[in-house]
Amino acid sequence: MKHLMTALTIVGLLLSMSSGAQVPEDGQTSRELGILLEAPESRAELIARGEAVYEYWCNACHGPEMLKPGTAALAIKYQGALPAALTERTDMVPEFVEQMVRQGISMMPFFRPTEVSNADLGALTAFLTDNSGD
Amino acid sequence: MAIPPGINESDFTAALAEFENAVGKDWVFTRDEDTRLYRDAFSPVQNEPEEILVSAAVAPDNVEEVQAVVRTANRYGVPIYPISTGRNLGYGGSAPNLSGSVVLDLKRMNRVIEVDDKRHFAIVEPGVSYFDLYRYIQDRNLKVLIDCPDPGWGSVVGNSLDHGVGYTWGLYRDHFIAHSGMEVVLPNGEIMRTGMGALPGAESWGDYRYGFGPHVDGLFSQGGFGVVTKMGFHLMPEPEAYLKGIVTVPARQDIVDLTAMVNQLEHQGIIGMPNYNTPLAPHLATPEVSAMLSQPFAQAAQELERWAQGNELGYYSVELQFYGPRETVQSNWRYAQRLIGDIPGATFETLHELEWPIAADEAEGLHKVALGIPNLEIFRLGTRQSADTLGWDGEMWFAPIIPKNGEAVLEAQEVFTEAFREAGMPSFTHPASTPQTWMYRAFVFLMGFPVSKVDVAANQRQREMFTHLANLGAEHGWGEYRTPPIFQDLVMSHYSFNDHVLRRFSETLKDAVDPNGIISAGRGGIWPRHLRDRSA
Ligand SMILES: Cc1cc2nc3c(=O)[nH]c(=O)nc-3n(C[C@H](O)[C@H](O)[C@H](O)COP(=O)(O)OP(=O)(O)OC[C@H]3O[C@@H](n4cnc5c(N)ncnc54)[C@H](O)[C@@H]3O)c2cc1C
Repeated sequence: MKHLMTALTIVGLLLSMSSGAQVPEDGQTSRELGILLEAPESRAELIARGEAVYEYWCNACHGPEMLKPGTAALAIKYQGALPAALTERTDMVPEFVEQMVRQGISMMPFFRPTEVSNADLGALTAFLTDNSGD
Repeated sequence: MAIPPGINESDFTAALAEFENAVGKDWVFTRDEDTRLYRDAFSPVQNEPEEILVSAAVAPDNVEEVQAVVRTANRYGVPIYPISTGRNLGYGGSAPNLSGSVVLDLKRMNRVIEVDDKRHFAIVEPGVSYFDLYRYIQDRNLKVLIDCPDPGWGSVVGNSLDHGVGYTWGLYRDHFIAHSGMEVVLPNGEIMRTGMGALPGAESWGDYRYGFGPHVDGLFSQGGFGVVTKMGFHLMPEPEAYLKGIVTVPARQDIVDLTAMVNQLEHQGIIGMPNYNTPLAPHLATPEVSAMLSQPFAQAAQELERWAQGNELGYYSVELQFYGPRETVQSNWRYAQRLIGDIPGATFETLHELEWPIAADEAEGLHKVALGIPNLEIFRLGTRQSADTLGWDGEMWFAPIIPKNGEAVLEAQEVFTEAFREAGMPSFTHPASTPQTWMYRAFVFLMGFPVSKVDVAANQRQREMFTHLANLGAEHGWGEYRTPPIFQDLVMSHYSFNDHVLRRFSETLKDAVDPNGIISAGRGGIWPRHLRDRSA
């Protein structure tokens, strides 16, 4: 949770710098994540943004709890050969993450750039592949 | 580049340039890789000629940008299709009714305007999801519950505009009834506010929905009369306590008395949403029971009941949910047991007792939406259930309204189950099927038809059966409350009293309000004049 709060603070910062994205003056929560249009320069910021995107868009289905439908389905699919929770995976490559987000699979629908912008998808990809071997 | 029907290329190019002026280049999408993200992800006509595709998408950030886009569309006659979060999965997703339309994607308009936890309402923009509204309320420790549909990613506005439904108390879970006032951009680009919002300076937008004069809000639900840019919603105050009990009754006919008694409880405001089910559900796929069920209906019903009684399983169950003061939920549960105790063999069990604030771990494993907590756990339904079978690729919902009594349930069980048997298809219903109770005053005899991303023949069979059941249901006086676009003309044709006067009246209004027919052509089976011969 603390991790996430740090991430959100950074995100606020990023948003005020990126073009097009707006943070309303009263800091309404629903807009807090906002939409990123340009990738941040530092890798740490990129990954923090990716984690925030993950928390906001992916976690409800792919969080570590087995009741989460994405995690439950992947547990059945991989039968222990790979971790069911995406954040525990070390084998993901960017193309795979991009394809899942923009094409979906099975019951998982695709996500649009008005939800996960291309820059946000880049950040998400960086976050999810951060611990993959090169 | 795909071009909307009835528009020439140079006009469309000019319109797109104006859209870009209005919302910025980043928010006009014309490349295939972007426009295909507005297909219906659960389309039952995927990769077939009938699949509904879009020519472009435009994503404004505020109401002035919406006005600019609508004015341009109106000038050039470009068909546009507003969506809020576009997650209408099972009922059409983000796709329009008219292929080639430009989607007006309102996801970026995601401001929570106001939440009042003393008068209990919220005013939101279309891009606000149930997750967003929940977070907003939690972060500010406001004492209101939201009523969400099973998937929390949908839009409070969009769900309501398709007559969406939820899971808590009475009228809160009918999301259109729960709304109070809207702001709409009309087809000519003018902004209108309804209810108290129409009175400059009024502060009662979220309180009183009618204002004065004809109540026109219904035109903007399941209809193409305007682009809704704000809506108010009544919210339930956070109660002190929640109690869930379950009642089981032994006989098939018991549904008649049971529904009458549960109605008696619900229509006095004693319970929230009742959940009917059958304790036989886990046994229906066993070889013994499925052999029983493959027989003609009357015999199947008789044997199933005998089997249920022999195994002392009970035949139907209903979960009763109580919200309110600590003492009241307990005494209401006692009253429910006294009332339903008149059914011979009825049994009662208390399942959960909680008090607000409810901690995350207390809600784990419960139906969270009944506690006002948005989530996506429903998607375990239909996803992969075993290592060697793939899950569904989606579903389309068949959702006929039937009267809120046991007689209708018994009849619907028989009519639909026999229809599957006659068609030689595995049946989605059986002699112990129970209805959905989202609507405060009606039942929905819901079925989920699976759709495939690859098996065109299977999708065709499902569509044929869907159509057959819709027609059959209509013969019995049952009509869908909501349906995917490819069935909307059919369903509207069933609401045919007095030579389809309801549709003709809506068409008259459509021609007057939207003479160029630019907004959501075909939505709800209402086509603009120039496209009207499309519908039967
Ligand atoms: C597994 C599963 C479970 C589901 N459970 C439920 C449930 O419990 N309850 C329920 O109600 N639904 C349910 N659905 C159906 C659907 O997913 C939800 O209703 C969802 O909330 C609708 O999508 P949305 O909120 O994104 O609305 P949108 O897709 O944005 O809007 C729906 C339609 O309303 C119109 N519209 C939207 N916004 C505007 C606007 N601003 N101006 C004018 N017209 C507009 C458009 O015609 C649009 O297509 C379920 C679906 C699935 C797959």
